[in-house]
Amino acid sequence: MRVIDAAQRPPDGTPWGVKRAALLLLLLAACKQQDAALMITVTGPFIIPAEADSLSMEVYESSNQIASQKWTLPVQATLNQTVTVVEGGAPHPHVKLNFELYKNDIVVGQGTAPADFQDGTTVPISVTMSR
Amino acid sequence: MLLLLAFLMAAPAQDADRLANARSLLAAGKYADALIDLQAVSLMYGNTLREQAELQALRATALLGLPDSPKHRQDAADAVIAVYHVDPDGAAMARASDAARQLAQQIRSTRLLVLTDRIVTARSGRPLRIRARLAGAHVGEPQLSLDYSAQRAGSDDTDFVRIPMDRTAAPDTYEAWLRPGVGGVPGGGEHLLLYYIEAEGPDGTLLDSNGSARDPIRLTLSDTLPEAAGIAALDEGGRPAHPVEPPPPVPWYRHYGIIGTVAGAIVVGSVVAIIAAQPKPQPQNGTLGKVDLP
Repeated sequence: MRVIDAAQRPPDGTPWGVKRAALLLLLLAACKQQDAALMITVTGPFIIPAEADSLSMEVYESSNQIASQKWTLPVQATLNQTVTVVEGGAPHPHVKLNFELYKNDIVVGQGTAPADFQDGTTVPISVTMSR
Repeated sequence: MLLLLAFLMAAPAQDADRLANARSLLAAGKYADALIDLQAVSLMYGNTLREQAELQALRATALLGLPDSPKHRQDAADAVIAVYHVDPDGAAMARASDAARQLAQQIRSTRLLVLTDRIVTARSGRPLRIRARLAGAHVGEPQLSLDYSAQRAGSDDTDFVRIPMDRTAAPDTYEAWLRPGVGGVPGGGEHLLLYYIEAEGPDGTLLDSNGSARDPIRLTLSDTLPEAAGIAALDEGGRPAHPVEPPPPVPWYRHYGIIGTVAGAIVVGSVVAIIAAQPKPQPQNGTLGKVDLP
């Protein structure tokens, strides 16, 4: 048996459950992440549009083409463009990127690169076009 | 059959009869035998305050009937003080001998006594006022303090909380309030409140203690005991007692457990929905734009 002063008695219960729930929600909010993506930089010794005027990209998974796109290139001293490829739908962990440069619909340059998507991040890829 | 009858007659008196037996022994001048019976009765559970006071009064009588000695006289004085601690008016001393009453008179003229009206049961979850008054001779202004410990049924936690008692307008009268949820006082439910009241002199010496840490006053705080419903002498500031009607039963959906769970689920669900509705961060677009894979 012991006698303690009333002021020394610990306070009654603290709402720890509420604090824990709020902390969990903040963690959940922090876990929300972007889609996996590739940031592809395409470069090459081509004067645009004197030597090339358009660029095409084909994305392959195994032997299947899953996407393609063609752009008319803006005026540039040398080719230096970027394109973002986003894994927004089904997972495509390993892909192959094929680029072709055209001058008046005639292929004047090519470049290729394999790429792997990573969850929640943008992976930088460099492709150098050659004649 | 005769053997069984003889055995039953030779058996010791039932506890309920031992107090009457002690009275008879005192009347017959058999003080030592009476003390044994009084001791046996005092060890029984369930003695009322009146019975406890009478036990101590008779004990003082028996001790003063024994051959005079300092120990007997001191024990008798302790018994008389115990009478006043349990029975502030000293009504039980009417059953004591003249010698015991003279000793009581002497005690009240030479030392201080802390008196309080002990109650057995009070309503739980209500402010509780503990009152005490001083009697007997005292010099200066004693400081009264209330030590209390609320226990849930079955618990043996006896950490006493000490608070000072305040003087009231009436002379030599003190009081302390125990408010639910404050300082370890339970907010409701069935509890056992143990307490004792000490008076200390200006120099800190203990002048008297009504109850003690080892033998505290026991008060049951109850929501359900019928005795608790009618007692309003100490709680509610001593206002006159009034009949208490039990509150109507609370519907199941208004219990705090249900309301709290539903409210918590709504709050958590709302926060999760808000978070889920936030757009995902998007990767930066290249100079040629963005291509989404199927």
